[in-house]
Amino acid sequence: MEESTLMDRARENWIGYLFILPTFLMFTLLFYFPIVRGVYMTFTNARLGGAGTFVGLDNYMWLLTNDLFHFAFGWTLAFVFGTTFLQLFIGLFAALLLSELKSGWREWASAIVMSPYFSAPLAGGVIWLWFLNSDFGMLPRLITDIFGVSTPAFLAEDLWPYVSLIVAQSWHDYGYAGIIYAAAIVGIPREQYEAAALAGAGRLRRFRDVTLPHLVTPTIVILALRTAWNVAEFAQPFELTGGGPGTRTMLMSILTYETAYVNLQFARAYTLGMAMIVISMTAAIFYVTVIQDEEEMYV
Amino acid sequence: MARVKFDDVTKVFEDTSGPIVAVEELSLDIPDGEFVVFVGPSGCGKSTTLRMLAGLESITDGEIRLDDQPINQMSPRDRDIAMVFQSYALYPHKTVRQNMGYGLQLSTDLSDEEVDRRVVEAAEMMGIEDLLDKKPGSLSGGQQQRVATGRAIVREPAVFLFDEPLSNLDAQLRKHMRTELSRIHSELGITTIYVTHDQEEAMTMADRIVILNDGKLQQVGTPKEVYYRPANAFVADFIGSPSMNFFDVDLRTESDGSGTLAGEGISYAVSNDVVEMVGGDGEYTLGIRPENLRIDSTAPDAKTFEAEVDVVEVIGSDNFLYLEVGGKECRVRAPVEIEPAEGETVDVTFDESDLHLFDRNTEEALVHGHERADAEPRTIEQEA
Repeated sequence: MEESTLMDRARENWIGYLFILPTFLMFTLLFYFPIVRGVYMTFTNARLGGAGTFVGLDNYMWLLTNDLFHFAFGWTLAFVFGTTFLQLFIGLFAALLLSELKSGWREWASAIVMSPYFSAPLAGGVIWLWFLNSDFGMLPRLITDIFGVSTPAFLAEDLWPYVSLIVAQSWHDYGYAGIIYAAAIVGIPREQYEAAALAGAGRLRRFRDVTLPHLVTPTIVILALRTAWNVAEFAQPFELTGGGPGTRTMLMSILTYETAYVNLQFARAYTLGMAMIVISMTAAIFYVTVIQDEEEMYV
Repeated sequence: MARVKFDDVTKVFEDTSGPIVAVEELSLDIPDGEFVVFVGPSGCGKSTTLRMLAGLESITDGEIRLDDQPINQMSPRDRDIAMVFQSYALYPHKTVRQNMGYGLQLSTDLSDEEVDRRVVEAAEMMGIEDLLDKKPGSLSGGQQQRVATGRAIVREPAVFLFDEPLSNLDAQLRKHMRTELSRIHSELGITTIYVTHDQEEAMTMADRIVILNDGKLQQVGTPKEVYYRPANAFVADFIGSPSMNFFDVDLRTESDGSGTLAGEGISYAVSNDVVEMVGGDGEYTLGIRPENLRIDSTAPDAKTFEAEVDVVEVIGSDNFLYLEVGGKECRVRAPVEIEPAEGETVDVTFDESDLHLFDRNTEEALVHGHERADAEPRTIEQEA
């Protein structure tokens, strides 16, 4: 066959190109251009309002030598790991309990159990603030009244703020894992449980041999998405501790905000954002690799 | 191996719209080693009965006994029953070998080598020894069916249950698997209960057929019994393909004791034997199988009725004629030489010994041919 040049093919398919042109233009304008510009910005000293001048790798050097960034990076990893897995387990537990309910009851119970996920993160922050605050919070007062002991400051003392942030964030988002797990559990054919019961498998055994294998794929989907979102989680932790006391609970998301809008260092904020992307993408690549192994489970 | 006994077994489902009786006072005795087929239209309670026996459904009332031991309160794992599901219910993440060995590993204390030996043995019986290390996802429907059956065989249970196991296969494979399942039953001799909605499957495989409708037992009998001596109009209609023709007729008795069945375009003289058996004048339903009707212009007028040919279906071995009699469809299974033109009027007759008469109100069978309904069943040889 004759070799066709690029121009030949463009002339042949011009109607097709015409149709994708508007989408391509909008994507370039609203998506690719900002990304490329943002990446370029990390090589400048841009502040709010100005384009800045080219400074090479200065921002990245600042990042790598900054103690607060080191701390925020480590704490973000711990926060993401803690919340993601807590969400996974609580969500699985909720889904399993819901699957035991009769249809009719199940829908209402699901709506109630999943409701934190549908609440605005800021509202969630307010709830936990009213719950944990040492001055007016419900939990410290309850403990003091019932047991007669004073409680630590849940949002300020020792390891408590870390625990509080992870627990509060897990509370807000476990519903996501719950919804996906519930759908997966409903989809498991009932006959497989019945066959296992006839084969002599008890309840725990059926859970291990029938339910769990069907939950591998949903688990990976939840892990991948929740990891990315938990890396970027901002509203609720910001409201509860604001990264404090001092900078003791500084997450990368809060650090990015402060760099951009308190210190007005937009270029550095964007550089921080690049580090967050690296975390999410590394996790995503890891999960995708696992999914490929998982697909081999069925052949 | 075991004898299965149902004693007035009833199953009621509670629904938002009120209770639904799925099975009503079913009593049945299945001797050890028999191959019994439950057949009936969807919703007749056949699967529910099977699931009660397996322990997957509670029993509302009555008792099920396995070798004279009541099993109502026994958990499924203690019943020593293996079941093959319509969907096969194979575990997708386990290999064929693991699927088949699962029950043995859980319910027996056999060594791994012994389990594997039995799995291989069952796999050879089902002709799937090459598939042992594959997973169900990479098998065809027919292969999955074999694995599911093999998984049941390997446990050597007291009772085999099959819940429409061949419904998801294509027609040719289904016929092949029928023979194969019959062969396995005769090799192992394990009591087998098989549920299907396909009457042909029931006729070809069963030692005895149990016909259910609306949760009620209609008839229990060998394939020949239910075919030649259906207990009521439902069984007569359900068993046999194409299904039996029914005509609403009135019996008029003549002075000499004989009579005439008349109605819906039919007039047919019957002997005094038939009159005597039904007990005189009255309203009846006449049933006559398509294979017993003949196109014959030489038959006596009193035993003939006229019909107009509607459609002729040539299927090779026979011709199916769809006739119109008194505004109703009448199906005839005719030999290949008989191929009337559509629209033609033909004379139709049948032998008195082939007629069935049913009470029009209760639909209970009153007469089968010449013999009383309570007489010994006839064999095909006598029929011919």
